[in-house]
Amino acid sequence: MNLVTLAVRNLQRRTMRTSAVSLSVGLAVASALSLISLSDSIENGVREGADERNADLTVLKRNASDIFSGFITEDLVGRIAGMPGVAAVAGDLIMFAPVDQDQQKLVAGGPPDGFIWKSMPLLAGTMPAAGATRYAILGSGAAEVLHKGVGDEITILDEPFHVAAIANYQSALNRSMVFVPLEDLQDVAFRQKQITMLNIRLAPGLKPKQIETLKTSIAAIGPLLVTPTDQFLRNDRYVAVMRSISRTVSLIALIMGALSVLSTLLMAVQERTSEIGIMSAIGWARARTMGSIVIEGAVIGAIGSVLGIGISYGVSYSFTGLPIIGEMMSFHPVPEMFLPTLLVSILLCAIGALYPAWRAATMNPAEALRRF
Amino acid sequence: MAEHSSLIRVEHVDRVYDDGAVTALRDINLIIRPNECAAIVGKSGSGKSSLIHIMSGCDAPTAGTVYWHDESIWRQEDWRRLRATRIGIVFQEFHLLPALTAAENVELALMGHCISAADRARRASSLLERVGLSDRARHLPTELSGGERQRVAIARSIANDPELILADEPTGNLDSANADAVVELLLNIRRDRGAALILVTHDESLAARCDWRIRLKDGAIETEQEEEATEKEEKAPAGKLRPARGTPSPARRARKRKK
Repeated sequence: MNLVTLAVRNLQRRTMRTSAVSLSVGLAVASALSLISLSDSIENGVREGADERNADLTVLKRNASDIFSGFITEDLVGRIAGMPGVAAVAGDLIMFAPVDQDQQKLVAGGPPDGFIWKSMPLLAGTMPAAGATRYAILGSGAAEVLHKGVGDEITILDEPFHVAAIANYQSALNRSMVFVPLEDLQDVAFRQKQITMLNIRLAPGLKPKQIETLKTSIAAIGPLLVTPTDQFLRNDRYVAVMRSISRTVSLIALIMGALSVLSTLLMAVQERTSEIGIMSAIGWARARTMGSIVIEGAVIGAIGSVLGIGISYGVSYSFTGLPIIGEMMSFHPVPEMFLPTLLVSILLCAIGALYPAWRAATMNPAEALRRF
Repeated sequence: MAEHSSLIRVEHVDRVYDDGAVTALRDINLIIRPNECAAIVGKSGSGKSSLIHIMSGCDAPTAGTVYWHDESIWRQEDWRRLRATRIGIVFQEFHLLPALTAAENVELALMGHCISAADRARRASSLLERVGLSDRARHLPTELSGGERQRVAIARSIANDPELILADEPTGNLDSANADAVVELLLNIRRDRGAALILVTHDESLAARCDWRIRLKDGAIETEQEEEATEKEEKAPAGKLRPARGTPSPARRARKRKK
């Protein structure tokens, strides 16, 4: 028996206590991890949504406070499409609009013959023939929230639209959207010939230098901002505010998780004061006594963090099943966070065990034993 | 070591609790020599356990000094070293670690002594055999009877061949048969190993089996009696007064003169 096996046996033979303490630590880790992942979900959601729509670059109006307020002219589509290195261009008009009178949904108007619509995965219904108007394709989440299916009618900005199909996107962003032909949305929103963004698909095999040249050429046209599609919300003011809020939430989650882990270990070790007193009474050196308790804390930290990662994964997957919220947001803990989570959890548990262990180990054994 | 040198000496020791509201020990003077066997007797609350705690360094006196081989000991780390190597303690409540088996509890006392794990395990096993528990080595304390637990605690207390064994009411939680067996074991171990034994008890017949007894009352030594019979002989609790073993303080001498 050595200090490590002593710690492991102490934990093994107190199954209920070890399980309860590890679970408490696990729940704290899961809460922190889930909230941090949730706060990252805005950017991740945009990235996932952009990936699904197969665009490489996005063009927005420069200095616009958000993507909905910066309008650019649709004429740019043809001009940019002719530039070297551009495989396809699609102009989108995106706005929050009342759907079925009172439900604000993200509505995207796009060209039905554009590359985004052509690669749109459909769950139900079919894509109407070219030239058809006043139809909508609902993201699966939006269809669920609106309780609408193929063949139903909806109103967008108080104008009737026919539901032609349900899109089968995977990202929360695309699942929650309503897609309509660009001209229809321009019409009902009184935004003729206006778009909010241009999606560009690059020609295959383009080198980074060529991409930079293309970006410079597009930016030279006028006050335009050209960014990789997965970063196009980086300059959005509202997203920046949301990002700040989510970072604050993450920080609070981290502090709360840390405090929770510390208090759990504090109580768990404090209730063993008499056992620490026994070790002192039989002559164990203070450092050795504290070492054995800290090792126990670290093992609990490791078990707790593994449990926490598992729980946060479970929560993230069940979150998407929640009505309304789950359709708008999704999050998944990223594997890059696992090792830091494990290390931080072990460190916190060791620190959480250290203080009460030190207190008990410096106490007179007689006093510690009185707490038997 | 001189023949008459003390193993442990307590001089003018007071112990008060709660900022002086409770006085557990008053001006205690006591000398224990190597290989002696003494019983500390007294009613509940007379200060027996407080005295044992101070003699083991598990508690610090409010005033006074404790000497080990005529050297004053006051640092906790020095007391820890003594408890790890020279002093074995047996508690009334056994104080075994509940998650460890009997053998592991004994082994615990051997950790940190530059002994290999295999040697520790072998030694723990032989100590359990010495206390008659070799077949219970792999049992947890909850799977042992009170008497067995106390024997494990005794095995743990002698793991490092101590010069002094302090037993604080070792029979307090045991029935009479187990109590006799435990005391017999302690006396045999003391005789075989040549260690000094201080036995705290309120049982006069157990105390009578020791060389002499110290009677505590209200935190002060009331009398010291030397037993006439050897430890093997059962005898009546009474004995003659043993002179000059403790060192009465001036206050105590004054009280005696008044009487």
